[in-house]
Formats: sequence, C-alpha cells, structure tokens
Amino acid sequence: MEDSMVKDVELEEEIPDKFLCCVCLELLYKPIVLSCGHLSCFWCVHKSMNGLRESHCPICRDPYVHFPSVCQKLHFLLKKIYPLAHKKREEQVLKEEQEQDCFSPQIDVVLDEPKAKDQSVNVSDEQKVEECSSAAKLLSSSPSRCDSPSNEEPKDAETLSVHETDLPKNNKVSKQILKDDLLCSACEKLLVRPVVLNCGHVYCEGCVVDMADESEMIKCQECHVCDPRGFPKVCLVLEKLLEENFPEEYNSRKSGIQKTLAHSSKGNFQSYQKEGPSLSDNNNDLPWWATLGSNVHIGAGCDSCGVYPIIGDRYRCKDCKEKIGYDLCKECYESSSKVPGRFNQQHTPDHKFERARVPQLMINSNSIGFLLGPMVNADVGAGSDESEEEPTGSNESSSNTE
Amino acid sequence: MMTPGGSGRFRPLPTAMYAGYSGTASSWVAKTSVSASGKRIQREMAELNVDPPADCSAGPKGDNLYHWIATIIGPSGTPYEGGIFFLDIIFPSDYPFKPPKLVFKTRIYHCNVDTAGNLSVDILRDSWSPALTITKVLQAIRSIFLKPEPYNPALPMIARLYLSDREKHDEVAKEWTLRFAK
Repeated sequence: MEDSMVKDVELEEEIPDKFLCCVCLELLYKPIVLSCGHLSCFWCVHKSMNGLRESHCPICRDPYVHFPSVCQKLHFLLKKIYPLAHKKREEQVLKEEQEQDCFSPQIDVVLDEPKAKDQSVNVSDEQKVEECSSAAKLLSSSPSRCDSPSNEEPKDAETLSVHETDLPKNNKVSKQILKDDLLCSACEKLLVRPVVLNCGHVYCEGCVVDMADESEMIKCQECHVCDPRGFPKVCLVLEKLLEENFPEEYNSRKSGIQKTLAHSSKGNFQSYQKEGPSLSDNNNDLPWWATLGSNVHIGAGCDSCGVYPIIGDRYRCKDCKEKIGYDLCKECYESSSKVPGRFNQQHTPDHKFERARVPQLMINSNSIGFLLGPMVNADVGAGSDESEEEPTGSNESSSNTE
Repeated sequence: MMTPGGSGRFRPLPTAMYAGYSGTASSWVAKTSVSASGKRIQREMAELNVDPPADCSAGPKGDNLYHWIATIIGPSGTPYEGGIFFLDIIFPSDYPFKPPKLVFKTRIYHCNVDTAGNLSVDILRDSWSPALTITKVLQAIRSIFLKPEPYNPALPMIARLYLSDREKHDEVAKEWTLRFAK
C-alpha cells in the first residue's frame, strides 16, 4: 500500500533523462562526475570500476583510474528539485548499504546534524556507523514516512513540524533553482562551462585554468586537495541546467569567458586534456598488471585521491574498524592533505598506518606465462621454439613495410 | 578502501585472473545486490514497452525476471528478410555491471553466430558497458543482420564465404532463413 502511494507521487515528479543515472536508470543519487564530464551515482560508478586495471566511463569509455568524490552541489540541487524521488532513493540506497554494511559518504547527515543529533540517541543499535543513525531514523519511522510523500507541498503547519527533522529546510524552501545554488566557488559568479574536480567541487572552466600552478596541478580552493587527474572536461548536464535556468546570464557569461580563454591560456589548456599517467600505454591485449609486476593492490583503492586499484606502496589504517578499511596510496600517505574515507569510515588523523603488501600469488614472468597461455611467450621450455621463429617473422614484416 | 565483501586485508585473487581473463574484475560480484539488478531490469522492461526498437521485441519468459526471450525480425533487403529469430536472454545477478548472455534459439546462417547460437559481438563481451541496455543490444544484433562483421567471426567458414562469394553466402543464408525461421 505504501508502495503504491510512493509510486503515485513519483508520477507527479517527472525526472528528465539528463538527471537519470545511465547505469541504474533512476534519479542520480550522490552523483559523481568523471573527468570526461559524464556522471552517475556514487555506487554505480564504484561498481562499474575495475579492481584490476583502469576503468572506462560507461558512456564514452574514456579511461580513468580515480574514483572521484560526490559532487555535493549537484546532489543538493537534485534533492531540492525532486525531494520525493530523492527521498525514495535515499531510503532505498541506505537499505542496501545496511545490508552490505558499507556506506556511501553521509553528506546529508552532516547538514542535518544540529536537528537530528538528539534524536539519534534512541535509534536502534543495528547502526554501526554513528553518523548514519539519523538517516536510519528515516527508515525506522515508517508511519511518518507513509504520509510524508502525500504532502508534496505541505501547507499546514502541523505536518511541517512533524517532518521538520526528516526533511529539514528542503520542504519549506521552494523547488526553484536559485543563482546561489550554482555559483563558482572561485569567482563567486554564475558558473560558466562548469567542470567538477576529483574532490567533487565545481568551478568554471576558466577559473580552473587559472588555479593550476606551475606544476600543472589543479588545487581545489575549497578543500585544498590537488586533482590528480589533469584537466577535467565540462560537465554537460550541469551546463544544460545552467542554460535552462539562467539563459541570458549564462550566455552572456559564456561569450565573455570564451574571449578571454581564447586569448590567454589556450596552450596551457591543451596540455591538460589527457588524463594523468595512462595505464594502458603498453599493450592493450596484455593486462597491465602483468607487465607491471606484482605491485598492484587488486580491489584496494586510495581513500584520499580515489585511485583504484592502488599501484605501488599501499598504506592501510590499523585502527579503522570498518570492514572496508582505510587505505592510502604512497602519494597521499606522504602528503599532508587527508580526506575522510570514501565509504564513510570514521578515520581520524591519529590512526596508525602500516604498509600493506600485495597478496602474493608471486607473479613472476613464468607464472604469467602459464596464466596467460598463448598471450605471453614465457622464456622457458617450449617457448624456445617460438623464439627461433620470431626473428624471421619480424624480419618478414619489416621487409614487407619496406 | 577495499572492495566490500572481501574478508579483509588479503583477499584471494578473483578467479578470472587465474584464467588469464583480462576483463572486468569479479570482485564486485558479491556486493551487487540482487534487488538493484532487478530494479534495473524492470526499468528496461518498461522502457521497451514504451519505445520498442524496430523489428525487435523482448520480455521475461515466465516468472523469472532474469530470463527473457526476444525476437528479431530479419530486416528487409537482407537474406534474413521475413525470418523470425528467437533469442534467449539471461541476465547475470550483477547486471548491468556484467553483460547479459544472449543465445540464438533459431538456427541462422551468419558469420557472427556459432552453431550453438552464441554471438561474437564485442559489446556482449569485452566492450560491454553498464550504460548499455537490452534495447541497444538488440539494435546492435539487428545491425549485424544488415552488415555482418566477418573480421570478428564466430564461424570463420561463413565469414570466408561472405568475403569471397557474397552471392553464394546470401543464397545459403536465405535458404536457412526459409527453412528454420519461418
């Protein structure tokens, strides 16, 4: 019965295709913007990433290795425009997360905290992560949830006060998108050609070009973390949102920016186009971990920069109790900027680290030969026949080209 | 962070690794909840009903949401014209992060379909993307009816004939269509 009510309400909130995740085909929830500018939900990105090698954008197949942080600006915008669908998604995802005992960043809760705090005391103790408890309250308080969707625009004060803790502010505020929701944190004007950094913060493309230092690293002005990926592409969904809501201002800003861009930093700009150190430069047929040897930490990612999998040294927190653990890559371990875990781990700076070793299935060249069969010629035994043939083969091909 | 579902620090390597398979890691399997894949399949079903692709239809075979049956009508202007080809579709539990498995149930003379009905279509293997849907997959299969891919064959024999003697190839294909697909 409850389900049918939710469905009815959802019909009223028609979500345009651009806000549907390309993977789960539902409203984007905790959206993540990849460096190619395409986006999907937090879990959809994470699940489509490849624990063995570089991942590819589901839409354009652009290769990437970093799992970016949630774009909070877009997240709260979607929450504002589609409060009901968003709430449904929130409950749905939280339920799944509880089943898996692994959580996405609880960004909503941080904002709601002042109001939700005193409530979280009497919540069921199945919640291991304290921060989740107030969100879990939404799930356990089914009676209030039952009627909350039906109050799409709550008018009477009574219902409002009941749901104040569930949907603080958002129910009261109109669904209209304000200019304040779409400001660049660098120039503090309306975003133009918005790009989303690895940390999830949004800037104008032009502002990011200016932010890059001599070493061509882009340091986010909000969180002071460097984007490890190089120059991200414009997020077209955000741009469309800007164009639709502020057509005049956006177009005038855009034409103004394009002039300055063309003048100043075009050369600069080009050099950022490619994503960092590419993993697949070697041989595409060969899994890259085979050539790199045994320092790939399969299925382990860095909780700071998001690189996945970690290649090279990996440092694992000894004090984090979550099953998923907290890991850092060498660069992030050595740098001072540490961000909270990507999966809501309760990591604090006083935690101790230890260097983790690669699960040793000692990958040496011989075993790779066995593993890959015909793909790699192991330089033992039967391989000798082939090595005799090979030079002639290569001679032939070179003479052909001549 | 570690892939959830792992027992901790040192997880066994995914079985895919032992086989030397370089595709996606199977380490995600454990944590893709069945309800999520089911929801996505239901979404696709609704989408198919609203906007079905040309000459194609698909839907669950029975009660099982993960087992579908699809039909493709041979496009006109090809030797498969007028034939109705049935396919079985099996969705893995971690769909859409793994591709669905499609098998031709109707015999067809086509260089990209082997004798068991398996397809050599790259988007169903290494080039799978979770953004692809059954609609797009069916459209891709329909497009190999129009234009076979002899350089990525399931049956090299047919591919060779297709490249060397197109007329004869089309003749045989037409005969097979008449015999098995009508």
